[in-house]
Amino acid sequence: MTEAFVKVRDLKIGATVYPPGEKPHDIEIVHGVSFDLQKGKVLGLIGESGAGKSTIGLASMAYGRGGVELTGGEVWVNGRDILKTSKGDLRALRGGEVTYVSQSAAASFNPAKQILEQVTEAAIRHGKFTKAEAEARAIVLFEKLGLPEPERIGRRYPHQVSGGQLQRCMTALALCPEPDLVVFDEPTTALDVTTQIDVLMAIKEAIRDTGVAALYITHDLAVVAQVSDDIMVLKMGEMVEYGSVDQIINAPQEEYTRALVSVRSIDHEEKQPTSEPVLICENLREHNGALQRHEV
Amino acid sequence: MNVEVHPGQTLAVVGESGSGKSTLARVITGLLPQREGRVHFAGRDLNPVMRTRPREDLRELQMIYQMADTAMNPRQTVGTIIGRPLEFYFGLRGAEKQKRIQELLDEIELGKGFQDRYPAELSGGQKQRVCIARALAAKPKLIICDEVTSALDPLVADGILKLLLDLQKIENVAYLFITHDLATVRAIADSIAVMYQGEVVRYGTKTEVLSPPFDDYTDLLLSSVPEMKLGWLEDVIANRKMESAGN
Repeated sequence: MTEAFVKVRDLKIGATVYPPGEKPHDIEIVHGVSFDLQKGKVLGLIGESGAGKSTIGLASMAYGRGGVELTGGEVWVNGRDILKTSKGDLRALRGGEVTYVSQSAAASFNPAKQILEQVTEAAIRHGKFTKAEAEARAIVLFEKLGLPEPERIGRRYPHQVSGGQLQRCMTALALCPEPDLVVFDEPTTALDVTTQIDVLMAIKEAIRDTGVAALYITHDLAVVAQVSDDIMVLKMGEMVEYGSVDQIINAPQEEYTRALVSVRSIDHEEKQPTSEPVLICENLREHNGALQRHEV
Repeated sequence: MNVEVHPGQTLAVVGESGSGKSTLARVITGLLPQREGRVHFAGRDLNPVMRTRPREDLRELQMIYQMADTAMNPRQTVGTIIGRPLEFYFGLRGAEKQKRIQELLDEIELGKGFQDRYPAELSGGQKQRVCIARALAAKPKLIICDEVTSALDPLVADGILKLLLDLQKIENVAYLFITHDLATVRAIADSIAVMYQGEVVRYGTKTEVLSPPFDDYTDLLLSSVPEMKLGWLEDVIANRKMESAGN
């Protein structure tokens, strides 16, 4: 087996907390996490709020959110420890070699600029491609991601495409500079399920076709099972279980993982309707201006 | 189409963004007066406008929201928050009120000491439990739950669903449970209304609605819910391609 392309070793992350009535103090929020990732492979990071998923995802770009400090460990991407690189080098790294897809595409795009300009910006600025090359690549990515009218969609503004389409545009943005690593942070969580399924497939195929290494962060184990090769289960900043997707889903070893796998399997026997309903809605109709008409 | 909710039972209203789920809730509560149709509640017709409804109508029809955070006054303690409907609807004061607050806190499985806490000192799941207690304090016949578990972690959400089911057995309260999540629907519903673009496209008992033959939209919706199964995504996409090729 070749040396892992992305290698995280004993990553420790600290944060300053400000409890009411106490002096601010530092605590550790990620306690020594390690993993390997090969090119073209996807590692799913799964866990509940506060597990450290996003913090670890951002640390893989050598970034810590406000008040967060990367206190120990190593993050190797393509042969160098990016926690030891200078600020200037980091600027070259982020957006070029490591890129990020966030949960809310709507909050990430600049509403005043056309999509194509934003999708190609990082690739051009980092000197990866000329403007013409970057635009050609963006169109190829739009097509790969199943966007309608790949030649023309980039000329639209963010508000002129749907939520699912904008999420795919952000994936194109992240893949445009031919990065080494993409961090997907809950990219389909805000989407309706009927939209999510197509975006998931698009992301999966785009990762496979571009051969990029990817971290896929989500709280939804059923989603991560579809796109990942390996899965790491996290809880309160600690690794609970780490294995192949098959092992985690079909043979989870830890009790916490088993709880996540069997979540939402509450057994509820349906009751028979009674003769006297407490509420009856009959032919309800609501007109909200001239825009919508809701009928029940 | 008409929909009904039965005492001590749950009607799940399921649909995606913009399907009109929350609009339905706002029409029933009178926050958004309907133009046509009728809301018949506990043997009487409800006035379309909330402001003009008698206090008894307000008491018997309670609501719990998705964001427990914004549904509570951050400067009031849990005791004050739960105590408010006890005073407003039942005129409870002093020791009597305190006793009832403690009973309600026991019902939502929060121990002693929570009375004096502020919302900011609670976890997301605990906040939602306090909102449930506040709704129950009014002794309602029906609680409208609008995506009450959507902002919670899956395991915490499971806890809330179990609590709601237990409370339903004890209090015989009916729920109109709005959600976009089909796993939640399976866990809690007795009957289901599927909404799409402002209309109920499918309605019946849980078994009826979730059994074939499906209408096109319900089929699409049900088959889009990720399953804890490797290769599920490829199977669904392949099936859809085959079907559209067949057409």
